[in-house]
Amino acid sequence: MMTPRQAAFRAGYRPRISPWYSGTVHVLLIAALGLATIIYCARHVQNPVWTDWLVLPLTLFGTNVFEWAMHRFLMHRPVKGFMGIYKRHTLAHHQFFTDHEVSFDDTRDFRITFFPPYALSLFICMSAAGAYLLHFVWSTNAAWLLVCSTSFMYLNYEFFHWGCHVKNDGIIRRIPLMNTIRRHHIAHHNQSIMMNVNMNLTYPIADWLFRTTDLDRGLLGHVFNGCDTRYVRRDLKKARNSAPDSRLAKV
Amino acid sequence: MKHYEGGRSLAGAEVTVDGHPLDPRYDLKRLSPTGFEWTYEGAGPAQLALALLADHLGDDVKALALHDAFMRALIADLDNSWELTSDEIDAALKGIAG
Repeated sequence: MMTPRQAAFRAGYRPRISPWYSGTVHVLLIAALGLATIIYCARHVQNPVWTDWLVLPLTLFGTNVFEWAMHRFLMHRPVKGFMGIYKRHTLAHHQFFTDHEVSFDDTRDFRITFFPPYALSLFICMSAAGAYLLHFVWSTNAAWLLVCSTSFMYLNYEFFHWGCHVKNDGIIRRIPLMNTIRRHHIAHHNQSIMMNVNMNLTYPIADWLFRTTDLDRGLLGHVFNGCDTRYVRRDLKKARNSAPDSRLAKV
Repeated sequence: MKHYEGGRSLAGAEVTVDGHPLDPRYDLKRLSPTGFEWTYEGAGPAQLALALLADHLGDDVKALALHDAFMRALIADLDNSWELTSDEIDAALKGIAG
Protein backbone atom coordinates (compact mmCIF):
# COMPACT_ATOMS: atom_id res chain seq x y z
CA MET A 1 0.00 0.00 0.00
CA MET A 2 1.28 3.42 -0.97
CA THR A 3 2.72 5.54 1.85
CA PRO A 4 1.47 9.12 2.31
CA ARG A 5 4.95 10.31 1.30
CA GLN A 6 4.82 8.46 -2.02
CA ALA A 7 1.26 9.66 -2.61
CA ALA A 8 2.38 13.23 -1.98
CA PHE A 9 5.24 12.88 -4.45
CA ARG A 10 2.89 11.52 -7.12
CA ALA A 11 0.37 14.28 -6.49
CA GLY A 12 3.11 16.89 -6.84
CA TYR A 13 4.81 15.32 -9.86
CA ARG A 14 1.83 14.71 -12.13
CA PRO A 15 0.85 18.37 -12.64
CA ARG A 16 4.43 19.00 -13.84
CA ILE A 17 3.87 16.74 -16.85
CA SER A 18 3.06 18.85 -19.90
CA PRO A 19 -0.59 18.70 -21.03
CA TRP A 20 0.85 18.01 -24.51
CA TYR A 21 2.58 14.85 -23.31
CA SER A 22 1.23 11.57 -24.66
CA GLY A 23 2.45 8.30 -23.18
CA THR A 24 1.26 6.41 -26.25
CA VAL A 25 3.29 8.65 -28.58
CA HIS A 26 6.29 8.30 -26.25
CA VAL A 27 6.18 4.51 -26.49
CA LEU A 28 5.45 4.50 -30.23
CA LEU A 29 8.45 6.76 -30.87
CA ILE A 30 10.78 4.43 -28.95
CA ALA A 31 9.32 1.33 -30.63
CA ALA A 32 9.42 2.87 -34.12
CA LEU A 33 13.00 4.09 -33.80
CA GLY A 34 14.18 0.80 -32.31
CA LEU A 35 12.38 -1.44 -34.79
CA ALA A 36 13.39 0.70 -37.79
CA THR A 37 17.04 0.46 -36.70
CA ILE A 38 16.80 -3.31 -36.24
CA ILE A 39 15.17 -3.83 -39.65
CA TYR A 40 17.54 -1.44 -41.44
CA CYS A 41 20.63 -3.12 -39.97
CA ALA A 42 19.32 -6.66 -40.47
CA ARG A 43 18.74 -5.97 -44.18
CA HIS A 44 22.43 -5.13 -44.58
CA VAL A 45 23.63 -8.48 -43.25
CA GLN A 46 24.77 -10.51 -46.29
CA ASN A 47 25.59 -14.24 -46.15
CA PRO A 48 26.85 -14.24 -42.58
CA VAL A 49 29.32 -16.91 -41.46
CA TRP A 50 29.33 -18.45 -37.98
CA THR A 51 31.98 -16.07 -36.70
CA ASP A 52 29.71 -13.13 -37.54
CA TRP A 53 26.99 -14.55 -35.28
CA LEU A 54 29.39 -14.64 -32.34
CA VAL A 55 28.73 -10.96 -31.91
CA LEU A 56 25.24 -11.76 -30.57
CA PRO A 57 26.18 -13.51 -27.29
CA LEU A 58 28.97 -11.00 -26.77
CA THR A 59 26.48 -8.16 -27.19
CA LEU A 60 24.03 -9.81 -24.79
CA PHE A 61 26.75 -9.98 -22.16
CA GLY A 62 28.16 -6.52 -22.94
CA THR A 63 24.79 -4.75 -22.81
CA ASN A 64 23.96 -6.61 -19.60
CA VAL A 65 27.08 -5.29 -17.90
CA PHE A 66 26.48 -1.84 -19.46
CA GLU A 67 22.92 -1.58 -18.09
CA TRP A 68 24.18 -2.75 -14.68
CA ALA A 69 27.04 -0.23 -14.65
CA MET A 70 24.84 2.69 -15.79
CA HIS A 71 22.35 1.86 -13.08
CA ARG A 72 24.92 1.17 -10.36
CA PHE A 73 27.33 4.06 -10.99
CA LEU A 74 25.29 6.85 -12.64
CA MET A 75 21.56 6.45 -12.04
CA HIS A 76 21.98 6.03 -8.26
CA ARG A 77 25.01 8.27 -7.71
CA PRO A 78 25.28 12.07 -8.07
CA VAL A 79 28.18 12.32 -10.53
CA LYS A 80 29.24 15.62 -12.03
CA GLY A 81 28.26 15.79 -15.70
CA PHE A 82 25.61 13.09 -15.28
CA MET A 83 23.30 14.72 -12.73
CA GLY A 84 20.32 14.66 -15.11
CA ILE A 85 20.15 10.87 -15.17
CA TYR A 86 20.57 10.68 -11.36
CA LYS A 87 17.79 13.22 -10.76
CA ARG A 88 15.44 11.54 -13.21
CA HIS A 89 16.07 8.14 -11.66
CA THR A 90 16.86 8.34 -7.91
CA LEU A 91 15.11 11.62 -7.19
CA ALA A 92 12.06 11.04 -9.38
CA HIS A 93 11.49 7.45 -10.59
CA HIS A 94 12.36 5.94 -7.18
CA GLN A 95 10.17 8.42 -5.31
CA PHE A 96 7.24 7.81 -7.66
CA PHE A 97 7.60 4.00 -7.62
CA THR A 98 8.45 2.14 -4.40
CA ASP A 99 8.03 -1.47 -3.37
CA HIS A 100 4.88 -0.33 -1.50
CA GLU A 101 3.29 0.71 -4.82
CA VAL A 102 5.27 -0.15 -7.91
CA SER A 103 2.61 0.36 -10.59
CA PHE A 104 1.75 3.21 -12.90
CA ASP A 105 -1.89 4.29 -13.06
CA ASP A 106 -2.24 5.34 -16.70
CA THR A 107 -0.22 6.13 -19.83
CA ARG A 108 0.67 9.65 -18.62
CA ASP A 109 2.79 7.95 -15.95
CA PHE A 110 4.94 6.64 -18.85
CA ARG A 111 6.71 10.02 -18.60
CA ILE A 112 8.46 8.74 -15.47
CA THR A 113 8.60 5.08 -16.49
CA PHE A 114 10.40 5.04 -19.86
CA PHE A 115 13.61 6.78 -20.89
CA PRO A 116 13.04 9.79 -23.17
CA PRO A 117 13.22 8.83 -26.89
CA TYR A 118 16.48 10.77 -27.39
CA ALA A 119 18.18 8.27 -25.06
CA LEU A 120 17.70 5.56 -27.69
CA SER A 121 19.12 7.86 -30.40
CA LEU A 122 22.19 8.43 -28.23
CA PHE A 123 22.49 4.71 -27.58
CA ILE A 124 22.28 3.91 -31.32
CA CYS A 125 25.00 6.49 -32.04
CA MET A 126 27.27 4.93 -29.39
CA SER A 127 26.57 1.51 -30.81
CA ALA A 128 27.25 2.75 -34.38
CA ALA A 129 30.64 4.09 -33.26
CA GLY A 130 31.48 0.64 -31.92
CA ALA A 131 30.20 -0.95 -35.11
CA TYR A 132 32.45 1.30 -37.20
CA LEU A 133 35.48 -0.09 -35.37
CA LEU A 134 34.11 -3.64 -35.55
CA HIS A 135 33.82 -3.30 -39.32
CA PHE A 136 37.65 -3.02 -39.50
CA VAL A 137 38.66 -5.56 -36.86
CA TRP A 138 35.95 -8.23 -37.35
CA SER A 139 33.58 -8.00 -40.33
CA THR A 140 30.94 -5.80 -41.90
CA ASN A 141 28.24 -8.31 -41.00
CA ALA A 142 29.37 -8.30 -37.38
CA ALA A 143 29.14 -4.50 -37.38
CA TRP A 144 25.54 -4.52 -38.65
CA LEU A 145 24.64 -7.30 -36.23
CA LEU A 146 26.08 -5.26 -33.36
CA VAL A 147 23.77 -2.27 -33.96
CA CYS A 148 20.89 -4.63 -34.64
CA SER A 149 21.37 -6.52 -31.36
CA THR A 150 22.08 -3.50 -29.15
CA SER A 151 18.89 -1.85 -30.43
CA PHE A 152 17.01 -5.07 -29.70
CA MET A 153 18.42 -5.14 -26.17
CA TYR A 154 17.32 -1.56 -25.63
CA LEU A 155 13.73 -2.45 -26.60
CA ASN A 156 14.04 -5.57 -24.44
CA TYR A 157 15.04 -3.32 -21.51
CA GLU A 158 12.12 -0.95 -21.97
CA PHE A 159 9.61 -3.76 -22.47
CA PHE A 160 10.76 -5.68 -19.38
CA HIS A 161 10.80 -2.45 -17.35
CA TRP A 162 7.22 -1.78 -18.42
CA GLY A 163 6.43 -5.33 -17.27
CA CYS A 164 7.88 -4.51 -13.84
CA HIS A 165 5.62 -1.49 -13.35
CA VAL A 166 2.37 -2.62 -14.98
CA LYS A 167 -0.41 -3.10 -12.42
CA ASN A 168 -1.89 -6.41 -13.50
CA ASP A 169 0.79 -9.10 -13.33
CA GLY A 170 -1.55 -12.04 -13.98
CA ILE A 171 0.13 -12.89 -17.31
CA ILE A 172 3.65 -11.67 -16.58
CA ARG A 173 3.93 -13.92 -13.52
CA ARG A 174 3.68 -16.87 -15.93
CA ILE A 175 6.25 -15.67 -18.50
CA PRO A 176 9.74 -17.06 -17.80
CA LEU A 177 12.51 -14.42 -17.57
CA MET A 178 9.98 -11.61 -17.44
CA ASN A 179 8.61 -12.86 -14.11
CA THR A 180 12.19 -13.09 -12.84
CA ILE A 181 12.99 -9.47 -13.61
CA ARG A 182 9.65 -8.25 -12.23
CA ARG A 183 10.39 -9.73 -8.80
CA HIS A 184 14.03 -8.63 -9.04
CA HIS A 185 13.14 -5.03 -9.92
CA ILE A 186 10.28 -4.65 -7.43
CA ALA A 187 12.73 -5.73 -4.72
CA HIS A 188 15.14 -3.08 -6.02
CA HIS A 189 12.46 -0.41 -5.42
CA ASN A 190 12.73 -1.11 -1.68
CA GLN A 191 14.37 2.17 -0.62
CA SER A 192 16.59 0.38 1.92
CA ILE A 193 18.49 -1.45 -0.80
CA MET A 194 17.87 0.56 -3.98
CA MET A 195 21.28 2.25 -3.92
CA ASN A 196 23.22 -1.02 -3.92
CA VAL A 197 21.23 -4.07 -4.98
CA ASN A 198 19.45 -5.55 -8.06
CA MET A 199 20.76 -3.22 -10.76
CA ASN A 200 19.92 -5.35 -13.81
CA LEU A 201 16.70 -4.63 -15.71
CA THR A 202 16.71 -7.42 -18.29
CA TYR A 203 18.44 -10.56 -17.01
CA PRO A 204 20.17 -10.53 -13.58
CA ILE A 205 23.49 -11.80 -14.95
CA ALA A 206 25.77 -8.89 -13.95
CA ASP A 207 24.06 -8.69 -10.54
CA TRP A 208 25.01 -12.33 -9.99
CA LEU A 209 28.52 -11.80 -11.38
CA PHE A 210 29.28 -8.72 -9.27
CA ARG A 211 27.33 -9.92 -6.19
CA THR A 212 24.90 -7.00 -6.12
CA THR A 213 21.88 -9.27 -5.88
CA ASP A 214 19.26 -9.96 -3.22
CA LEU A 215 19.31 -13.69 -4.04
CA ASP A 216 21.54 -16.43 -2.71
CA ARG A 217 21.71 -18.87 -5.62
CA GLY A 218 23.62 -19.65 -8.82
CA LEU A 219 23.50 -18.06 -12.25
CA LEU A 220 20.78 -20.25 -13.75
CA GLY A 221 18.78 -19.95 -10.55
CA HIS A 222 19.03 -16.18 -10.84
CA VAL A 223 17.94 -16.04 -14.47
CA PHE A 224 15.05 -18.47 -14.04
CA ASN A 225 14.11 -17.59 -10.46
CA GLY A 226 10.67 -16.31 -11.42
CA CYS A 227 8.66 -14.99 -8.47
CA ASP A 228 10.30 -17.37 -5.97
CA THR A 229 11.24 -15.61 -2.72
CA ARG A 230 12.77 -18.63 -0.95
CA TYR A 231 16.30 -17.65 -1.93
CA VAL A 232 16.16 -13.99 -0.84
CA ARG A 233 19.18 -13.20 1.34
CA ARG A 234 18.48 -12.69 5.03
CA ASP A 235 21.38 -10.27 5.51
CA LEU A 236 20.04 -7.47 3.32
CA LYS A 237 20.34 -3.95 4.66
CA LYS A 238 17.44 -2.54 6.68
CA ALA A 239 17.27 1.23 6.53
CA ARG A 240 17.21 3.10 9.83
CA ASN A 241 16.08 6.44 11.24
CA SER A 242 13.13 6.56 8.86
CA ALA A 243 11.24 9.82 9.04
CA PRO A 244 7.54 9.41 9.72
CA ASP A 245 5.30 9.87 6.74
CA SER A 246 4.07 13.12 8.21
CA ARG A 247 7.23 14.54 6.60
CA LEU A 248 5.72 14.47 3.15
CA ALA A 249 7.71 14.48 -0.05
CA LYS A 250 8.59 17.76 -1.65
CA VAL A 251 8.57 17.69 -5.42
CA MET B 1 19.16 19.04 21.30
CA LYS B 2 19.40 19.48 17.53
CA HIS B 3 17.15 17.77 15.03
CA TYR B 4 18.51 16.76 11.61
CA GLU B 5 16.32 15.69 8.68
CA GLY B 6 17.05 14.48 5.18
CA GLY B 7 14.96 13.63 2.17
CA ARG B 8 15.24 13.18 -1.57
CA SER B 9 13.16 15.37 -3.86
CA LEU B 10 13.46 16.75 -7.37
CA ALA B 11 15.45 19.62 -5.85
CA GLY B 12 18.10 17.14 -4.70
CA ALA B 13 19.12 15.20 -1.62
CA GLU B 14 18.47 17.88 0.98
CA VAL B 15 19.44 17.97 4.67
CA THR B 16 18.32 20.42 7.34
CA VAL B 17 19.31 21.12 10.93
CA ASP B 18 16.42 22.46 12.99
CA GLY B 19 14.70 23.40 9.75
CA HIS B 20 17.66 25.24 8.16
CA PRO B 21 19.89 23.87 5.35
CA LEU B 22 22.95 22.02 6.69
CA ASP B 23 26.27 23.55 5.60
CA PRO B 24 28.21 20.87 3.63
CA ARG B 25 31.46 22.30 5.03
CA TYR B 26 33.41 22.34 1.80
CA ASP B 27 35.87 24.58 3.63
CA LEU B 28 36.95 21.53 5.66
CA LYS B 29 37.08 19.00 2.83
CA ARG B 30 35.48 18.78 -0.61
CA LEU B 31 34.54 15.10 -0.72
CA SER B 32 31.50 15.41 -2.97
CA PRO B 33 31.13 18.42 -5.28
CA THR B 34 27.58 17.28 -6.09
CA GLY B 35 26.40 17.46 -2.49
CA PHE B 36 24.96 15.02 0.02
CA GLU B 37 23.72 11.47 -0.41
CA TRP B 38 23.15 8.47 1.89
CA THR B 39 22.10 4.77 2.07
CA TYR B 40 25.48 3.67 0.65
CA GLU B 41 29.19 4.17 1.22
CA GLY B 42 30.74 6.81 -1.01
CA ALA B 43 31.57 10.46 -1.58
CA GLY B 44 28.09 11.96 -1.03
CA PRO B 45 27.54 10.07 2.25
CA ALA B 46 31.06 11.02 3.39
CA GLN B 47 30.31 14.72 2.82
CA LEU B 48 27.10 14.33 4.83
CA ALA B 49 28.96 12.55 7.65
CA LEU B 50 31.53 15.34 7.79
CA ALA B 51 28.89 18.09 7.78
CA LEU B 52 26.77 16.40 10.47
CA LEU B 53 29.74 15.79 12.76
CA ALA B 54 31.14 19.29 12.30
CA ASP B 55 27.75 20.78 13.20
CA HIS B 56 27.07 18.38 16.06
CA LEU B 57 30.52 18.32 17.68
CA GLY B 58 31.53 21.91 16.95
CA ASP B 59 35.04 20.51 16.53
CA ASP B 60 36.34 20.48 12.95
CA VAL B 61 39.41 18.38 13.72
CA LYS B 62 37.32 15.64 15.38
CA ALA B 63 34.80 15.76 12.55
CA LEU B 64 37.56 15.23 9.98
CA ALA B 65 38.99 12.35 12.00
CA LEU B 66 35.69 10.53 12.57
CA HIS B 67 33.65 11.20 9.42
CA ASP B 68 34.66 8.08 7.48
CA ALA B 69 33.85 5.63 10.30
CA PHE B 70 30.65 7.57 11.06
CA MET B 71 29.62 7.33 7.42
CA ARG B 72 30.05 3.55 7.45
CA ALA B 73 28.36 3.12 10.85
CA LEU B 74 25.29 5.28 10.32
CA ILE B 75 24.99 7.31 7.09
CA ALA B 76 25.26 4.24 4.84
CA ASP B 77 22.13 2.82 6.49
CA LEU B 78 19.88 5.89 6.52
CA ASP B 79 16.49 5.55 4.87
CA ASN B 80 15.32 7.50 1.81
CA SER B 81 13.72 10.03 4.17
CA TRP B 82 15.31 10.18 7.61
CA GLU B 83 15.70 12.08 10.84
CA LEU B 84 18.42 12.11 13.49
CA THR B 85 18.78 13.70 16.89
CA SER B 86 21.95 14.75 18.69
CA ASP B 87 21.48 11.81 21.08
CA GLU B 88 21.41 9.34 18.19
CA ILE B 89 24.61 10.81 16.74
CA ASP B 90 26.27 10.52 20.16
CA ALA B 91 25.14 6.88 20.39
CA ALA B 92 26.62 6.13 16.96
CA LEU B 93 29.90 7.81 17.92
CA LYS B 94 30.05 5.73 21.11
CA GLY B 95 29.61 2.63 18.98
CA ILE B 96 32.55 3.67 16.79
CA ALA B 97 34.77 4.37 19.83
CA GLY B 98 33.71 1.14 21.55
